[in-house]
Amino acid sequence: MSILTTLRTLTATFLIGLTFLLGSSIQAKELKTASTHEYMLSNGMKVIVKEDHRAPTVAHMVWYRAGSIDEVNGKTGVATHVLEHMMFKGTKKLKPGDFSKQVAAVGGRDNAFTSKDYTAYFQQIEKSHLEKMMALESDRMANLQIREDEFAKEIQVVMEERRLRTDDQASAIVYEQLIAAAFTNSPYRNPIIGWMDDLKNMTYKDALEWYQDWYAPNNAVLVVSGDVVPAEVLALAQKYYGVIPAKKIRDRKPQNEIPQIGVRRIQVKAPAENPDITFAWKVPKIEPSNIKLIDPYALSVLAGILDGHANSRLNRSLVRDLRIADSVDASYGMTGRGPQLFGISASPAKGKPLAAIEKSIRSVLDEIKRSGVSDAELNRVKSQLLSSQIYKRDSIFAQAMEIGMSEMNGISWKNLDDIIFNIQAVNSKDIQKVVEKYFIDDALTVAILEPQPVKEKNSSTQKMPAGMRH
Amino acid sequence: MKYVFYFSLLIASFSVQAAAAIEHWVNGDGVSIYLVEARTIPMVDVQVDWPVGSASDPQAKIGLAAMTAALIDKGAIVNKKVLTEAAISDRLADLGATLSFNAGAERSSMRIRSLSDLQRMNELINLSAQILKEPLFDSKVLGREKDRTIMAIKESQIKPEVILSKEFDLQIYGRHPYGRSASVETIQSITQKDIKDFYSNRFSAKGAKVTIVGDIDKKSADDLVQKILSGLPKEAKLTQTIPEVELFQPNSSKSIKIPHAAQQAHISMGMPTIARKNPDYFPMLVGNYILGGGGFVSRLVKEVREKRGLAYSVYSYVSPGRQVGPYVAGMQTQQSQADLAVDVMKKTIAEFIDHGPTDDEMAAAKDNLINGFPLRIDSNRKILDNVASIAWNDLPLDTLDTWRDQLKAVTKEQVKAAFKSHLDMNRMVTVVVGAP
Repeated sequence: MSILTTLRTLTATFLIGLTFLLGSSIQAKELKTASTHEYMLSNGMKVIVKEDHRAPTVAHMVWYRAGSIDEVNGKTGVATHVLEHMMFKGTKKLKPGDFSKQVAAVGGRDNAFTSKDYTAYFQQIEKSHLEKMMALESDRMANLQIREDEFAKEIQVVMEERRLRTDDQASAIVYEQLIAAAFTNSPYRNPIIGWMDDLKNMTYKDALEWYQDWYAPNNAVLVVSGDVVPAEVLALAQKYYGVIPAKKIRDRKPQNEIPQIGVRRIQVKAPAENPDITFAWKVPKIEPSNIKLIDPYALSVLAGILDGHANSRLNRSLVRDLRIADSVDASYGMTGRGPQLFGISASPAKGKPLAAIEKSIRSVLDEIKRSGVSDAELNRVKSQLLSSQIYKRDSIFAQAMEIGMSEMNGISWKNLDDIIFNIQAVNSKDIQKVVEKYFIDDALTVAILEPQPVKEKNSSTQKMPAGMRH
Repeated sequence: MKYVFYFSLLIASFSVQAAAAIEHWVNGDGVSIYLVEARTIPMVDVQVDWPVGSASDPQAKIGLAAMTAALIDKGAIVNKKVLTEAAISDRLADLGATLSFNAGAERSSMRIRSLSDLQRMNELINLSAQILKEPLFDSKVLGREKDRTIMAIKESQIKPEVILSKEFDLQIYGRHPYGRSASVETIQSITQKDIKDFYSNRFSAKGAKVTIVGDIDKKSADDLVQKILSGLPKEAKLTQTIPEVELFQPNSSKSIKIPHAAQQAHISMGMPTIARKNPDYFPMLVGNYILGGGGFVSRLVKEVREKRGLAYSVYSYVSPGRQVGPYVAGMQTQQSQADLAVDVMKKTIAEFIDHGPTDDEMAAAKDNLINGFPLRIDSNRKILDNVASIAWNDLPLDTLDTWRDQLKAVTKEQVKAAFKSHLDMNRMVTVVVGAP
């Protein structure tokens, strides 16, 4: 039998999907809940299992509710991100590097990622290796060793990562500065990777303290998706994670962002060829305590109407019709533990002033505020949303990601279908209302990239490539 | 000759159809079709590959294939009326479908993803057929796309990673078409007539390869391909011929340093090695896993990152295609450490070429590659990528079925011999952008 036939089994789960597709959107409620199971271990660790039997593979993820939002001044980046690196550096049982070696031995792919809201660790494996992954992951939840010499090397790696991803990238510098300007007291203002000065002054004790504070079963969620039997996953989770004692997690201060009282404009000089401009309005997110409020869903549909496909309003107007921009994007964070922004950024076409861009973006928004959006536009965005829900099922990893992120942001996976349903309910008036209410200058931060020539050095006789002479 | 070859494959695929998940046949228009039925999700992915890449760009108009690809879906003439780019993108979004074109060195590709219900599929098939039959190639849209491309080139030209990759390609491929890259001047010189001619002379049904994965049966897949490509010429007037990529001469090693003000130096070293069909493919795959392909467990990561903290990312890969492709090792580090980093990389690679892997490393590499195989084919998207690659490189239809056995059979001696014969520090080129 061919190996590809493993993807051909038709299961009941997917039949539900078909009904959903052809039937009304209400049936969406059955879609994600049908094959997902939730358990709570006695130590307070939540376990969520999403069955998907298309291929004999599994995604195993542990999510900690500890992100850069939980860091304090002087120790930015410590935490979350540096510790993420140190988690591969050995436990009481494992030598540095052995973790990855053991995952590699079973053909697994492993990595980790850090956000403002959480830190997550994952392995993708053939299904028979799940138990081994749990043994490894639970071991470093409880028994991590943070050695001073390993820390000294790893902090250098993290600084190289910062140079690579931020300090040498004009667009990343602008983003970092924009966020720091938009937020006054929320810890969201700090970059996830940390300020370079904080990285330089960090010690292994800072990392250790972070680990002791946050790495506990009662501050974590286990998400397993793929070709598994839920009861078996639960039994394994009991065996490996269930034996780790809960810790008292320290209080989190809300640190709610103070109200903005006037437009903020910043200029950022960085090596680049072209200028660009970014607008960021403070907007609401889905509040876990009341997920019914319509505004976040209206903002989400608005993002689709502005930038959901090649002919959506912003691209059509600024890039195609007016020819004043070469590119334009809109983005909105619908969920998160901290305050959220609605962003629009654009690169002007050659010689076009940023003022013209700003004027056009405002006029696109004003037009929506005045006249609303058409049914065709609404249906288009909703059709894209629905099909993307189907496409998402092509990846068990994407399904585990969706569940984990949602849980970290305080929204149960059980509400994922309600969210889709709520988005379907958005109408033109809802969208007009959110534009009117939130797209105001008092809640706006604008960042402008002022391109600087790349400084040349004269240490070599090498001929420079053409574009280097600016 | 070509036809006979396809015909024999057709017979072969019928005879094993019951067992093989990849069905392959050639339709009446000479289109080579590869189908994997995957009925679990109501969606279909399609990739069409034409043997038309940037290798076909005229010297003065490098970027022509890419510009043509960018314009194909930006408007069409349908029944003598204009179907605007706006109407096309709206229609696609209404269907919840995506359609994109892009051009690489050897091929231009169209990718479609759609839900599989009949009504949507039929609409999408009609729309794609209309787009391909008579693209508009509107001069205003061309002007806009040229402006955008030029801006992007100017922006990228100051980036150390782009400067590095252009210089490295030039060093690896020399005068071969793969060593070229578009410039402001070559983009500027592209005219509407260039695009129209390029498209009408080079794109055809015959010679195209189509890979389909998803909720669709063979009959419908055959209809889909026939309909989508029905508006194209049966046969192309001009066919692409690509010269052989030349291997480096003995004792040709070179080191090139380009200054840059970025904080980090960007480093690449490598040389042309093998084509995909070379029997050393699997030994090279296993060897490279050990040397620099195996993520956190490779020798390069151990030496550069784990032991010395020199870099966040350090890797190597072999990228063979129809043509000989290079071995490439790369990393970034703060400028003051660049010389040290190059030394460590060179020593690590040289040591591996001279002495090959250890028994433990061989076992670990094979464990990983063999045990990890299911992860290579656990989604429609990944299957599409694999099968399209089998199609493009004319690999056997059972390539995925025999993958693990091929890996199992690789010996330590084969890895060592393959690295010794295809890699050589005395022929390697090193490029550093942001050299101290």
